[in-house]
Amino acid sequence: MKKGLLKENKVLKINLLYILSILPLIIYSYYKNGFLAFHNGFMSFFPSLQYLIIPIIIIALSYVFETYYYLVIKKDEDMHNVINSVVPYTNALCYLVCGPLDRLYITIPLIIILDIIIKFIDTKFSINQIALFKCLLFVLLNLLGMYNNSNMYELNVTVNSNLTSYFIGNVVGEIGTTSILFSLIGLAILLFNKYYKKEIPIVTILSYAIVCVIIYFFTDLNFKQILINTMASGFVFATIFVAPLSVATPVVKTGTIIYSLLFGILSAIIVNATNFYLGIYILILILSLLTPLFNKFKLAIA
Amino acid sequence: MVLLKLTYEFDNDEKKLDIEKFECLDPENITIYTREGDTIYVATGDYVYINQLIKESTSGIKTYATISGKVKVEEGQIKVINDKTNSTLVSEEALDKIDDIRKDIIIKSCENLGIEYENKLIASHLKENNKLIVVNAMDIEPYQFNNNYQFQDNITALLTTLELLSNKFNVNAYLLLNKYDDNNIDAVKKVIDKYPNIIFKIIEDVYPYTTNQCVARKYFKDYTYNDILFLDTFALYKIYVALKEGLPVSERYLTVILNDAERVAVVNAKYGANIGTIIKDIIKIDTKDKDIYLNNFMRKVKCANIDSLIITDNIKTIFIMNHEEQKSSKCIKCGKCVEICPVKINPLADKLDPSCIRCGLCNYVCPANINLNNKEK
Repeated sequence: MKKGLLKENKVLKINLLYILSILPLIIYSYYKNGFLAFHNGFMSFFPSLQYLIIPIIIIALSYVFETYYYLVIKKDEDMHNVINSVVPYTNALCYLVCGPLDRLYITIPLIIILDIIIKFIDTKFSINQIALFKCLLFVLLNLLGMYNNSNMYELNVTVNSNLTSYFIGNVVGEIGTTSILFSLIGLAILLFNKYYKKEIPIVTILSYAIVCVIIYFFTDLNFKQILINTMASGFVFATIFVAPLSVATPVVKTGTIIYSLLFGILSAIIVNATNFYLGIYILILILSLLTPLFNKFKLAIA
Repeated sequence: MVLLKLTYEFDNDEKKLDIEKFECLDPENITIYTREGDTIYVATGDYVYINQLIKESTSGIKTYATISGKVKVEEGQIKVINDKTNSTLVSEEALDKIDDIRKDIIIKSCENLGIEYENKLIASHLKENNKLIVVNAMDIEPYQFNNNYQFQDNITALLTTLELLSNKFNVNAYLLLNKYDDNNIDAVKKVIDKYPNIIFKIIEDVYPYTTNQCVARKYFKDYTYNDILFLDTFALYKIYVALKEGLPVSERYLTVILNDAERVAVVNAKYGANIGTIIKDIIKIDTKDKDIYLNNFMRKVKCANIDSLIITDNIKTIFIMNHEEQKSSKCIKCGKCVEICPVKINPLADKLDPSCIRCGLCNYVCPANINLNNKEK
């Protein structure tokens, strides 16, 4: 006998599982960007804690903003939408794609502004908030001449960049995107969430791998270079956390598979042919905007 | 041609459930709701007999008194107060056997009594585009046992009627039973040789695979849905009674489920009897602080006041659930509703696709508790 004929609202549980999946990355980002710098004397103790405190502040601020939006703007007294909001998770992801020394007075308002933009236009388009945030932040910081992917520790020492350090994440990069290992731990947690669109990372990685094999045979790139390009580009983080963001991906199976195939194939080309790693986020942004189109593909019924 | 995907298998095997059986064949009163345009044949103070015509809808569906007593016509409803005399109108058309009734008499009998199934008059279907008869003797919706009991109680009558229809209208006749319905399957197997025109088929009980639209697509690909006369056990029984007695059927089965099938009851009750009274006084379930869902819990059709519910053809199951706030939140676009949809439409679209069979599976799998069925086609 199946128990529980009426199902409960599971969105809160789903969102908590999403947040749980990025906790290993947040903890590692504190170790990499804060603890190492503090331990080696490049940063004092309290500033080093910012990499633990800021994500908490961002998640808390997201709830405050959601409360304001639903209570004051939408005049909805029911707090259900606030509690079940996916925004704290996406905002925490936005934090992870920031540079380690990015200024808070730019990043936090940008996150809030994006929330507002998404709230008003996302009914027609499915915009991937994290990809949009990453692109805007990159452009903004470049314009201000403040773009830097190194943290305080990496600015002062020479960082070893062999395959193992790429895998662990001990390389220059955004706050939480460098570690392949911790991204994979996050993926393992996400796989417990049956609402996570696992076909996106699976199809993406397979199609990416196929294109990489073609690149290997038809170009001068060797296996190690391809592997380093892949690990250094943030492709794994984007594939696991950004591309499958359910609110900005197709709901139709065929559409989801086409979305993933395009993402895998094009990102393999971007990563290995251009070295323009921001291209991955631009690609996700474009693909998410095309989501209504992908939703028109009907699945051949089994 | 669209094929179907198997979806949810609800474990509603009767053997695993302790089903209680009740009767409500002599209610204190019955109620018949009326709509604008209905022709009403009685007035306040009239005395009516069982089987006397009370009203006819604009589409030709007729409603008869199921008890005898005094009539009270009110705004939007007619009440018959039972005088417990059990006086009934005797039909002149009562027959001993129905084996050799003419085709035109069959149509006339169904027409006279306005027998319908799924809001379509059976007589007009028999006259116009009848190429195949399919009796879907399964209880289509999860946790429903009406057809099961109806079939058990009237197996010979039903098979005889189906054989007659097949014979007289010169069309194939299919009888479908679900594979878990062991008792009825065994009973049919023993006698099916006597009915050479009936093709007996056992079908997987996977919801909503057993709905008529799905059955048509899966098993009768050579026919369009409108070519097939689909009947359930009860509609076939109505035809039988119309042919044999020349009278309408005055009672039907209703399944009542408490919580997660803690209690399952099947009630044979008179049309128009108050469901609230049946549940409280006969089945003895207290509905205070409970949520009431009609027919299919997945469709989330909630009933605000059980005391206004009466036995009709449209109410087949009542789910009485502990009160829980069923709050919905914003869609997270997980795609589970699209994945589960047996007819492969997108339930998230602003308007429901016309091919939607309103099975409610999209509601059932939605993690955000959104009622996706609650849209116009």
